[in-house]
Amino acid sequence: MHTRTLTFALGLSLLAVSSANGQVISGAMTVTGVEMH
Amino acid sequence: MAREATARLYDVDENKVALLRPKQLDRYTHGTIKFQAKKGKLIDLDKLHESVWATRLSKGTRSGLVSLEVTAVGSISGGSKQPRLDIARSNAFFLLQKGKSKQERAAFERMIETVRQDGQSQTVRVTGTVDGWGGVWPSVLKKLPRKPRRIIVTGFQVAP
Repeated sequence: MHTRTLTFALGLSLLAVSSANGQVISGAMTVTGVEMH
Repeated sequence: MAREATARLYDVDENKVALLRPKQLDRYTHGTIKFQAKKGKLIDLDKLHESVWATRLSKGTRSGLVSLEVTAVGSISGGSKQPRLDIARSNAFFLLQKGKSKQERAAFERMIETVRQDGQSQTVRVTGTVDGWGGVWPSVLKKLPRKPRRIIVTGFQVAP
């Protein structure tokens, strides 16, 4: 898995605990460019 | 491994954030990051955008955002011409739109019919694709998608 994608996932991990004035209970974000090895 | 460490550090259930990689089409393929708010919490899409922006994803990486699908809970108002979902426990709302596919149109019509029959005060759960959340890095990150936020309804159910 590409480093950028891992960083991306980490950002979402942090997001999950920092919600305050939110709108949604869950989501699924589809991205391109997940590098496979 | 790093993600597990983050989950421990911030007391996040690691099962609530997952990167799903469907079948490998080529070296560069799609991936879907599923996430879920902690119990009693709501995720702010502005913060989501900020979080993605903070990754500093740049051009030339053959990567981008394909779509963002969200699920929100609230009550529907506004009638069938321009229904909106008023988020429970929040002042936020989404404008709800009918999609183009057969499944999307069916979900939207079912939502309108249910609200027409049962009234607008009931709590519902709407799933949909957020309009404007798509594109290649970094252009998709440069500014917040327009407001009011619109979602193209892909699923609907009366909340238990």
